[in-house]
Amino acid sequence: MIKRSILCLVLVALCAGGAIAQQKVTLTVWDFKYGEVNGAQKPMQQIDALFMQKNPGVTVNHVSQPGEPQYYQIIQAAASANQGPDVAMFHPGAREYGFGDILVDLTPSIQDIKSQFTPASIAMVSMDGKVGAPIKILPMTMQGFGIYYNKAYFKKAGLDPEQPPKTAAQFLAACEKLKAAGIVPITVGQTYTIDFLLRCLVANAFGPNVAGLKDGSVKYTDPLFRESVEFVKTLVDKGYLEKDGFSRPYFMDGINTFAAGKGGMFVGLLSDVGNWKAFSDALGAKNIGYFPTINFPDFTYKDQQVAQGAGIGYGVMTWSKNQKVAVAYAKFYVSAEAARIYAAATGALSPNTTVGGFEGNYPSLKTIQQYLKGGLALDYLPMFYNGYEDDTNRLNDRLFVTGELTTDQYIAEYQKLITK
Amino acid sequence: MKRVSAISTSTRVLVQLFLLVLAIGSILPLYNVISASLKSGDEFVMNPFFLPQAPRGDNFVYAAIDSHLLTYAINSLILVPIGLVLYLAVCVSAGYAFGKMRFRLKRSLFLLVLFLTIFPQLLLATQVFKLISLLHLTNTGAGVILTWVAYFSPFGTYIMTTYFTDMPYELVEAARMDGASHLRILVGVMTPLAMPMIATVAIIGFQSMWNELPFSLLILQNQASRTMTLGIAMMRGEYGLGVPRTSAAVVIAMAVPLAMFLIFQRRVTLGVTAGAIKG
Amino acid sequence: MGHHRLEEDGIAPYVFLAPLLVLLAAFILYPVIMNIVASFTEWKGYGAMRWTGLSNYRAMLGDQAFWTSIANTAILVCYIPVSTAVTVFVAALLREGLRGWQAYRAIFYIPNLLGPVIIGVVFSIYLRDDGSLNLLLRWAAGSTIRFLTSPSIAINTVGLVQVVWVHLGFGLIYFLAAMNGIEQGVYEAALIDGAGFFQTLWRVTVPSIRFALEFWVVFNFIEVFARMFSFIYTLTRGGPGYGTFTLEYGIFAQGFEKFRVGYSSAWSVVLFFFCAAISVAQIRLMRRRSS
Repeated sequence: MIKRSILCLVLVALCAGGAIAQQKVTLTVWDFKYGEVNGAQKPMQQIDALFMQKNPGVTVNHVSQPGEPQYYQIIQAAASANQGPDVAMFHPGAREYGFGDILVDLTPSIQDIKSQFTPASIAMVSMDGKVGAPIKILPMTMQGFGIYYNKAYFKKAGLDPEQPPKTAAQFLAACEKLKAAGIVPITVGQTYTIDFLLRCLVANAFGPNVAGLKDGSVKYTDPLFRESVEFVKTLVDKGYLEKDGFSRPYFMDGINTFAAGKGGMFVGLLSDVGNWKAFSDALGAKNIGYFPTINFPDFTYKDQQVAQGAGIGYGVMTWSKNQKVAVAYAKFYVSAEAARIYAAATGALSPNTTVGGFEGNYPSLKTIQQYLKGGLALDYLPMFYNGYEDDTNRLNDRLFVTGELTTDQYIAEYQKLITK
Repeated sequence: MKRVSAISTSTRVLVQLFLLVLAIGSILPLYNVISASLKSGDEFVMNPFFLPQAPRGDNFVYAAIDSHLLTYAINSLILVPIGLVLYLAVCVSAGYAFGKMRFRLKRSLFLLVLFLTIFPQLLLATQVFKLISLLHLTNTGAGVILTWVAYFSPFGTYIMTTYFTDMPYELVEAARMDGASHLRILVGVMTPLAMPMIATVAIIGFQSMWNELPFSLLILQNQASRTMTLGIAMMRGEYGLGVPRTSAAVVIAMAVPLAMFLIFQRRVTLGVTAGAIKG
Repeated sequence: MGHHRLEEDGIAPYVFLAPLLVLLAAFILYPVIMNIVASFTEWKGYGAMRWTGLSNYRAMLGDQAFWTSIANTAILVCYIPVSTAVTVFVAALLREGLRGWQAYRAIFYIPNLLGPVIIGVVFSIYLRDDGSLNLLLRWAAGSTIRFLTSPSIAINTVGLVQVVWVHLGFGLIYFLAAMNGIEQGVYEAALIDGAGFFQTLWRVTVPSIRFALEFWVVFNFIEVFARMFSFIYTLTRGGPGYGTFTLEYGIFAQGFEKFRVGYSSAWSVVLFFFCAAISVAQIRLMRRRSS
């Protein structure tokens, strides 16, 4: 009797021991980029395979989720149930801060590679954007906005393709020439074209002080903000921002329309989609030019490149039962090796400064990098609360698309949003 | 319908014309969708309105495979029928209880059921989600089916109740006197007699569950578990696909309701008819 | 219903009702009550609920989006008489026994059958400023209509498409059936008296289908207040601006886009009152019908 029970115990112990030795871990990763078959998916699969190679016994279950805002609804739902993925992709900034209480503090785990990242990206992924606060997301890309232009169309309109417009007056003149040549001056995508353009102009208005819009040291009633708004309004009123594009979704119809050669200029992104690589591949690397913003004579700053410290990144969820492996996974993705694979394949820009080396074939990327070195204005919008961008986009619609608000009302509404 | 008409023969032509224009206007959006689904991306840009010059089927392949519509279709085709069976079981038995059984709380409970029919899903969504996650049913077919049955049953119960109420009580009385249990009466006598109405309720329930969006959106988080309706709803907006491919997806999505309609057309008509007469 | 000496059926009814009642209690009753509670708190949908008293309500009353949503819902309500008139008119036409009336009835039913999500996606493409209908308009009339990009027009688009056009198909079957119940004799008598189409419609048909009309109106009220979400979500996501925001959509936007669940519960409570009022009207109507 006793012998048998001892035998059972031994068997159980052996099995348990065997299980521990195996250490089979399935890591569930939620991702809103993984579904892009022609974009992020392949490099991510490559990186996952590499990770699994380096960590035998780990299987990565990479799940593709829809994009914003459905993505965050699903995250909220998971938070409500206190169960879900081990790792999840996030937009650093307000989205991250809003969900801070379900994200693991990753500060200790990246101490050794922290110096590789731009200070702006580290600041952004720290809670509430405060340097020294817990870091809850590891930054994979850095994002920003600027204006791409089709050099062939510039030539056709009688503009110098190597000298993009710099000042407001030159910009308006260029638009007029494009229009006269029968070319759509600026291809439009719903809501975001105006959103991004405004942010580019505001970068020149306030430069490094742009974060003051959040803490109130810079007011929306500032005449420079108003001047930016009025300028965009002029573009709409003169038809330079094509009215027909206002019902066309920016992602991806707007982007694809420009990539199909249907316009002279486009307010695009620096990273992920609608970027230097996408347009270069579609219209010819030598045919795509770039400039970050428009200069106004009375604006303090010039040629500022508006950028977010970080565009997307991975966080580890507090309920994860495989935290160690999850943290290692997130760290792997932002390390030089993985980041290079991702950046080269998708046209993303990594905040990891040790990544690089493929600018050679893309003149527009070279241009972007020059501007990044020149003057970086942090994008203020992601700092705000969850849903701030939805609010501002609705405001943009009401002023620019429908004419429902006057500029004064628009600015007043903007100011109101801060107090929310 | 042989009857004396209030419209003179000359006006008839005008009326026919009017109806024809109305009908064409109705069909036009659908024609556009079908024609767009057969065009390549480039052709659509050149020729958005007229029939495709070079029709091609690869948008459908893309929608079915790359956009996972086939997976979504299978999900819907599995989840909805199961939900329907449970829904009918609940509605028929509750309808019989309200319609033919006697108990003190009948009036008040029935009013409660009627009252709860009206609320929109959004009012309930957050709490329903919490409940589903408490039961560990997030992302499962069971979770979504339970929610559908709970949400759509009040209306189905109401319909069955009115129908059972109108059936002669003698049927029940006779069977009771013979010593039959209520269960036996329901299954053996009432259900077969109520088949026309049950079929109608089934169609209403099928349509409701098939087209349901808010609860599916919250509960089915994995892409692989989405229903067809959820898949289509996701296509509009962020990272969209362009018109031809979206159109192909919509055409595929239209297939099931249209097929259902063609097969059950008479039943649908009769059902709505019955609803009109009953009020 | 036969009236018999009231001997109750014991516990059996409750057994039959148990599944329904349990489901209703858990999935509808409890959530409705919790919504009212949550409206007095600040809550992210998970984690702690912080009691804030009436502050959500005060914020709501000062929120432009709230009043716009009320206005938009009111505009949609105005389409109910339009829908009723159009539907009854077309039904009366079809009833005249024209050739192929069943085909028309079937064709008009298709939008209803396809469901709000498909119709929403189809129209979100079809009505774009660079979409098919505007191409047609530009060719025929030289200008376009901003169906989806002008808030004043967009809400009317929602009304016309969902309230009028989609319900037309359902309404045709419904009213044709109701009209069938009218005695042929009365109808013919009116015609012999020399009444024309519209006179018979107004004096004979409409009064005879009074109950059907009343239920139809209530049905439409329910649709406008509580069943518009799927369509608006797929058509315009509440835009442009707050153009197609309704009370129902606002609950979604506040609760699931900005994660201000406590605040969205305040909106829910307002919607609750509207729904409750409609429900009471509906129940009264049913009671009258059955007596």
